[in-house]
Amino acid sequence: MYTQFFGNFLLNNKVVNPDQLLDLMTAQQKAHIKLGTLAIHEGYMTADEVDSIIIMQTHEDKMFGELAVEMGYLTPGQLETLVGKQIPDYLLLGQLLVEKGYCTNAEFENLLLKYQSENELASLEQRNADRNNVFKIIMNYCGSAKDPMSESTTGFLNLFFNNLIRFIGDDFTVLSLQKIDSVEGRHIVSQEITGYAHYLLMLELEERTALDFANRYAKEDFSQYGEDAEEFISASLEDFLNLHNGLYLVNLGPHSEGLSLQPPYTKHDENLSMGEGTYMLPIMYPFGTVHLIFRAEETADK
Amino acid sequence: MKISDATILIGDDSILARKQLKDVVISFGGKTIYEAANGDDAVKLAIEHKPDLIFLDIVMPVKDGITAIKEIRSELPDADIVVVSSVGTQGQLKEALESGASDFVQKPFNVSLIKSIITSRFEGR
Repeated sequence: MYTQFFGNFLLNNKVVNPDQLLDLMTAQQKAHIKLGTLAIHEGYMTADEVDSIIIMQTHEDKMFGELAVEMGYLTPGQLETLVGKQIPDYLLLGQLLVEKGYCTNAEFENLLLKYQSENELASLEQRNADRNNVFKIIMNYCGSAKDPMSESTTGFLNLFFNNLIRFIGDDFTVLSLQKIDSVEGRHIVSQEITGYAHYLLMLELEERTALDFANRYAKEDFSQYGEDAEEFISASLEDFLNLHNGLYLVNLGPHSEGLSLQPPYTKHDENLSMGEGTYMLPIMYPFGTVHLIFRAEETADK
Repeated sequence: MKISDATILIGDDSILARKQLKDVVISFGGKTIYEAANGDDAVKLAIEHKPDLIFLDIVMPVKDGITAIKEIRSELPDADIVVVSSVGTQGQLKEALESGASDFVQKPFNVSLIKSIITSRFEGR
């Protein structure tokens, strides 16, 4: 979960421009090492145990290591060892920064020291706590913290980013939050929650990016689907929004009474005018940029 | 009854969700599977084919899942309906069960849960 912050750090320090960062992130994908892979490599867990944790993660908002310890597959000591062995994402990104000639080893060493001292890299416990504040942390890193949002909007977006990390991946960098009054949409997927509050959640992205997003979400390669590909891509993106919004309502508990989830919908190549208070947040993945567009209108009476 | 002899209906507006569920049913030996992309089609297919098991989503266009359950139940009082939905609020769960659903599965669904639903109702191939 640290690539996005190191990416923002590099952008803020003008070490790279967004195009160069995208290039680094694409290369970094091939170098990603997961805790489950390390656990198998160390002989701590079997492949079946790792698979069962991955399935559990689709139902519980918990980290891999946390669930593995709860299930008794790993002891807390083994987890600490693995976490110690896990190569931090930002280190891989930094390594590529040198390899691609954006800076020298010495410059990288200085950047790393600066990044570590600015961010006081967190322990495992801290990372768990960070999960509950992921949106706030992202806003701090992308320099958009000055836009105050209500607690419920922050909670809604916090869950969104946790779902994004769980179902699509944590290899993204968030650029600056913007207020917008219109969207020039290529592939647009949208869903609304209506009732005593009104939430609009929309993703806008290029068709090629939509394909990669859908492939990651559904763990399928829709480019093999021929004529049906477009329908499966739209369904995957709609499913992702539906899943997020559904989980949000579940988490609201009794407060979800009086709120309804509307069916999601997809549009192509349309210019949409957006209401007052609509925000857009570009989320840069190695496969392209996903524009998160949202608006929350809340009323006092529940 | 063997799963291979059973008729199963999947009602979900998402082609992806239908495919994923259909793949699981087929992997356990299911052969006769009908698909509906909205609540209205689900009701029509249910009345026409009288399925042995029905999977239904709640949030669907044209006619939502809860209304579809009520209409299916009024025509087929013994219909076995399992709700598969990402919206699992207590109110909706209660409403789905009161309308006649026999089970509720939260999306994204766990394959072993679908397996237990199938094996508790049908014999293997």
